[in-house]
Order: sequence, then structure tokens, then C-alpha cells
Amino acid sequence: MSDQTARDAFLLDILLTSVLVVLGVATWIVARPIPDNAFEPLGAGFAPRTIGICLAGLGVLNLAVRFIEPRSTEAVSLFRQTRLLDCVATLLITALYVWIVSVKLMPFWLSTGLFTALSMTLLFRNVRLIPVYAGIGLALGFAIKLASSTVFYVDI
Amino acid sequence: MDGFLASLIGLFSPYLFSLAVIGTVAGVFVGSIPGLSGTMLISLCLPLTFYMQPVAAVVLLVAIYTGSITGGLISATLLRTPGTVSNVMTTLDAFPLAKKGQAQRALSLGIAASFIGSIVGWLALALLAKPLSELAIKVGTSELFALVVLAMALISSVSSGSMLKGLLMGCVGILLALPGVDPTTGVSRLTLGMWQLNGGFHILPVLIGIFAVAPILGDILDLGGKTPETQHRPSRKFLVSTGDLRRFWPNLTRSSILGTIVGILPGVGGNVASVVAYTSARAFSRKPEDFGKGSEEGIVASESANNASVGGALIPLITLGIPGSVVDVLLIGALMMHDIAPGPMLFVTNAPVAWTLVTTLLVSSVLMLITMIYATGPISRLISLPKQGILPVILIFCVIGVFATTNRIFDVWLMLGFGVFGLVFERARFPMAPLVVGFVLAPIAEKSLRSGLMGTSGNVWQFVSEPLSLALLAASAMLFVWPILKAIRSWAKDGRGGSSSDSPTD
Repeated sequence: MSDQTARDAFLLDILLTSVLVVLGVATWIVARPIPDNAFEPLGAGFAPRTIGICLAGLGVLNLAVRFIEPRSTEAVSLFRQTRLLDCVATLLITALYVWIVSVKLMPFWLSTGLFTALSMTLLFRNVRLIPVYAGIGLALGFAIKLASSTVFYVDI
Repeated sequence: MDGFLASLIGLFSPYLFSLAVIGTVAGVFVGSIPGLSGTMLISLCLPLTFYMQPVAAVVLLVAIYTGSITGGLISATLLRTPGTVSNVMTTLDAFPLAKKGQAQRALSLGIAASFIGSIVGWLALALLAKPLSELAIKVGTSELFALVVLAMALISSVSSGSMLKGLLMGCVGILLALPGVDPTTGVSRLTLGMWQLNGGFHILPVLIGIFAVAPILGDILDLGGKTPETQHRPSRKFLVSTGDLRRFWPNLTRSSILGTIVGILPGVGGNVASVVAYTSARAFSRKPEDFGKGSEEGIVASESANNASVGGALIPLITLGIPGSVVDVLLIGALMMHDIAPGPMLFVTNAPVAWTLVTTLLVSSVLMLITMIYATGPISRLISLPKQGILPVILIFCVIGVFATTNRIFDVWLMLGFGVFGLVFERARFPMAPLVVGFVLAPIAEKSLRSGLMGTSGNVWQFVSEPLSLALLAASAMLFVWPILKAIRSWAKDGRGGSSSDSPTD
């Protein structure tokens, strides 16, 4: 692992652990305190508060260990992956697809064809085959629509 | 016995049998493609099972489970890339053997060992499930709570990466199970004012997000270079004789038993089973130097153990409602969608479902043997399919599957969110297995703890006064304390001039 990659991995580790510590503290604050109830001694807030404390405590411990032994991190660098942009773009295209399906902007088969054409073009990096990708998507969209309405009786 | 026979006969009805065939073939196929896994296929099939009878759902999912574990053998042998994590140890010897021109021999040995391992695991399941369930019914709330704590400690300590990270993910999993209306007091908690969270997180977006969307995004990150092509074309020849079976008999028995035992441990699946069996096979071998260079004993050990772990893993699921492996979490999810609670009462309240779990493993093992002998050739031609074409299609099924089942677009967004969460945390080597186990087991643990305390007006003494619960809690404590003690000793040694790579958390 190069020094730069190791530093990235270390930072990712620290960042994510810090997020978990904040999550733990926030849970502890948001969860209701234990009510004084003779029949139900723990109350609804007991489990969230306990887990919140555990999460924050373990997170701090992990942070301490990482700072004492920075090289012990096993994380890999996420930010220097050559396909990171492709991954983010696929995610955005998927989000767009979900939004189109949710608001029913266009027929389901058409949105599926569009999604497939966009995502496969992005991943294959081959613009000439867009009609093929769109054809696959349209066929898939028709098949899913047919199956959902005739077999599962779900309106997509 | 009547229940077993009735279930076995029922399994040969055209509908259930065709589901078993489809599940096994699909499992073998998906398991053989590197990057796709049985876990992913099962996650994708969960919405489908929502529209099935529980028995049919169990048949499909168990058949996929059995098929996928063995399917990984094909790419491990031909591409040097294990189809699933359970086949990592197989790759070490199967590929070198294939390189020597003996690919068919490596595959045949793996198939035979997988079948025998499956049968041993099934025997353990068939013999132990019912008696252990009857015993488990007598387990009280304090013992059940202690058992869940032990399960979570075990999964955190043996999951890949550091134990601290495993524990952190276990806590996150528990936290995800807490929002919604508290079942005991009816108080709404951790919903952040969102009505969609009144019922808590639906199990489907969590599981599909983590087991399907996250690996897809991970695969996209890892795309690049040419898909490896296999130079070997397997035939239908089955190159294992009875003499081979006699020769490998001790190894097969030992590895299958080890696989079954490891499978029984909560949350630990075929990957750990194959490592344990492989290591012990090398220790007992007369030619340990051959391991890693095409040793037939290595292939036999790894494949028999990972398949045996399937039967073993189903034992805690049926008897205690605790998942024996990550795939079992998905099985629990499928049963929960049908309002069926796995556990000791399964044989009482849903006996057909419990017996179907047992009989499907037997039938799908036989189907797996037939599929592997006759379909390895055609499948080996398909394992080099470009992933760029498969991943978007799987994403579509993820979106539609969640939406069609829960009928809420909110859950689809959640699924994408959990996908990103799973990707980022997995890249930082935070294991996901403790998270899903925590998510599934947290309600059982909380219910046991609170109903136990309500019975004693808040007196926690009962949790340590019962011998069984005390032993289980002590074992859990040991699992937490032992690595820390080991690390302190290692640091102390370092201080005296020794060297060690142990991390306090690893």
C-alpha cells in the first residue's frame, strides 16, 4: 500500500468511526429516559440509550486504537478508485429511475429501457451499442410489467 | 417421522419440485459467476417469495443456498477466482490442478466432496433439529437473552476484520431494529417524526441494500480489465472412483463434521468452515507440502466442509431462531415476511415449514450433484459474461422487488441508502454480517430481556442466577475479553524487544 493510499484509508476509517460516535451520542440524547414504571422497569428508552452509549464508547475505543496504531487500519482507499465516477453516476441514474417510477412520469417499460441504455452505455463505455442496450431494457421492462400485472397483481 | 415423509412426498409435487430444480440450477449458475453470490440471488428472490406460500418460499431459497455454495467451485477451478467466499480455499488447489491439465479431475473431486458434505450436514440437521427444538422450548427468557448475546459476541469476534469493528456494526444493526412503536409500552421511539418509521425499518430494503445493491456498486468500482476466459472446457466425465472415496474417507468425514460444527455456530458460514477443514486436512496429511500446489486432499476438505456448513447452519435457525450464517438471516427474513417466527416453536406451530427446510436440503443436494455433473460444461461457457451487462439488470430487479413488496417508494430510497452505506463501510473493512445479525436478533433480545425483568420487577439477578444463562454470558464475556488480553500480552512482549503484528482489536 502506498503512503498516500494508506493515509486515505486511515482517514476513511477515522471519518466513518466518528460518524458512528456521533450517531451513538445522538441516539442517547434523542431516546427517551427510562420512565419509572413498576410493571415495565426498563421502558422504551432503555435499549436505544444503552446501544447509543455502547456505539459511542466502542467508536471512541476504535478511534483511540487507530491513532495509537495508524498502520493497523485495514481500510482500502475509496477515493482513488478509477471507477468511482462510474459508480456515482450509476447511483444517480438509479435515483433518477426510482423518481421516474415513483411519479409515473413515463410508462414503466420506457423508463426501464432508458435506465438500461444509460447505465450499460456508461459501464461498457460504448456509445455505438446504445440501441442494443435500450432494446434489452425495453424487453425487460415489458416482461416485468407483464409479470407484475398477471402473476403478482402489482401495479408498477 | 410422519412429518418428514409427508414433507418429502409433498416436495415431489410438480410445483415444489420445479422450484427446487430452478433454485438449485440458478444457485449453481450465480454461485459460479465471480462477483455475484447466492446471498445476492436470495436477496433478490425475497420479494418474489412474498407472493408464495411459506413452504414454496423455503424450497426456493434453500435450493438456491445449496446450489450457490457448490457453484463457486467452477470458477475457482477454471478462472482462479472463487465464485463465492466459501470457495476461496478450493481455489488454492483446484486451479493449480487444472493448470496441470486435470481440470475435470479437480471439478469431479469437488462435486463428490460437496455432495458428501451436504449429506453429512443434512444428516446432522435431520437428526438434531427436532430433539433440540423440544429441548429449546424449555429455555426461559433469561437463557434466550444470554444465547442471543452469545450469538452476537460470536459473530462479532469471528467476522472478518477487527473485533471492535464487528462490535460497532453489531450495535448499528441493533440500533436499526429499534425505531418504531415499542412492542411493550406502545411508545413511539426513534422515528424522528417520520410516519414511515412507525413500523420500523422493513427488513427487505435493509437486506437488499446491503446484500445486493452494495455488492453491485462495489463491482462497478472494481470493473476494469478483461474478464478472464477459461481455457478448459469441462466434459460430462465424472472422474471419481470408489477407490478415491476410500482413500479420502477420513478427510471427507473429518472435514464434513468440522463443517457441520462450524455451521452450527451463529453467524459463521461456509468460508470459515472451509478454512478450518483445510487447515486440519493439511495438519493430518502425509503430504502437507502439496497443499496450495494442486493437492486433491485440499479440494476435498474445503468443498465437503463448506457444503456441510449449510445443514449445520440451519440447526440453530430451526431450534432457536438464531441464524447459523448470513444466508440464514435472509431465510429468517423470508419467514418473517410470512409472519412465521423461526425458533423452537416452529415444529409446533408451522411443522410443514420446519420439515420442508430439512427435506429440501436433501433433495437439493441430489439436484446439485446432477446439475454439477451435467451442466458444468454449459455453465463454464457463461461464467465469463461481462458484468457490465448483468449489474444494471440486477439493479432494476432490486428496485422493482422492494417497491412491489412494500408498495412504498420510501423503502426504495432506503434500499439505495443502505446500498451506499454498505459499500462505504465495507471498503473501510467494517463487516456487514454483525450488522444484519444484530438487526434480526435485537427484537428477540430486547423482548427476552424486558419480559424477563417484568417477571422479577426489574431484578437483574435472575440473568446470572440460572446456571445456563450464567454460562452463556460468561462465554460471551470471554469472547470480548480474550482478544484484549492477547493483545496486552503481545504489547508487553513488544516492550521487551519482541515483535508482533497483533492489533488490540484484531
